[in-house]
Amino acid sequence: MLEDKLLLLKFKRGSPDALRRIYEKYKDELLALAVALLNDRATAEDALHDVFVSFAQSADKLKLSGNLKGYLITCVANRARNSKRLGQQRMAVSLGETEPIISDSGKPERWIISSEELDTLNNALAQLPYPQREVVILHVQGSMKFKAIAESQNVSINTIQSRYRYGLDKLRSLLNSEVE
Amino acid sequence: MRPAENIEKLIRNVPINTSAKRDEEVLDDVLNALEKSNNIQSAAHQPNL
Repeated sequence: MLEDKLLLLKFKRGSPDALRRIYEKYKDELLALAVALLNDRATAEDALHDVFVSFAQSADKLKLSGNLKGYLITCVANRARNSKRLGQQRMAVSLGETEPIISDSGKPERWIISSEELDTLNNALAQLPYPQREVVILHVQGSMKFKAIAESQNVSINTIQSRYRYGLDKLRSLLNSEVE
Repeated sequence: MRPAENIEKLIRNVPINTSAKRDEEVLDDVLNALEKSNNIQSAAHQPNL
């Protein structure tokens, strides 16, 4: 995206306005991703904070010239994985703390999601093995291609596709059992 | 059976937004980090006289 390339260029030259715009543009998507990965809003907010502080500190060293959103998503996923490893999660807080809303993003497929549905989804996601949850979230919510996920995790694309398939099957089975 | 497509839509549309207060806190820290980084960089580029 042209806007991102310009923002990145200005950011690398030390522009606070560019950095602020990057944060404003991607904060909600990245937070949703972090909450889905970590199952805890407070930990997810900390992860988002840390990712952007590191990003700001790297302005002059950043080699990135391509996909800014993909880069930030990968940073959040790496930070979430480290957080999981270190067992720094606080008590899980339900995704359903947020009020049901309709996004103003203009996406035609946007749904209204009830708190109950969010709780159900949250519980189901929490039951997936983390590698499966990560792939499902990065692919569906982060719109990352399997190839990009595989490269960022240094595993084969077949492994990533299998994790996605198993993850989605398990989610489907968990969500169906909730309904029954 | 709930189709995979519906599950994907459900995940894609989770409505989460940052709070204004939290944004302010994050931006304070982030912009400070950038300023420090800019200062270090400009100091490193000062000529030797």
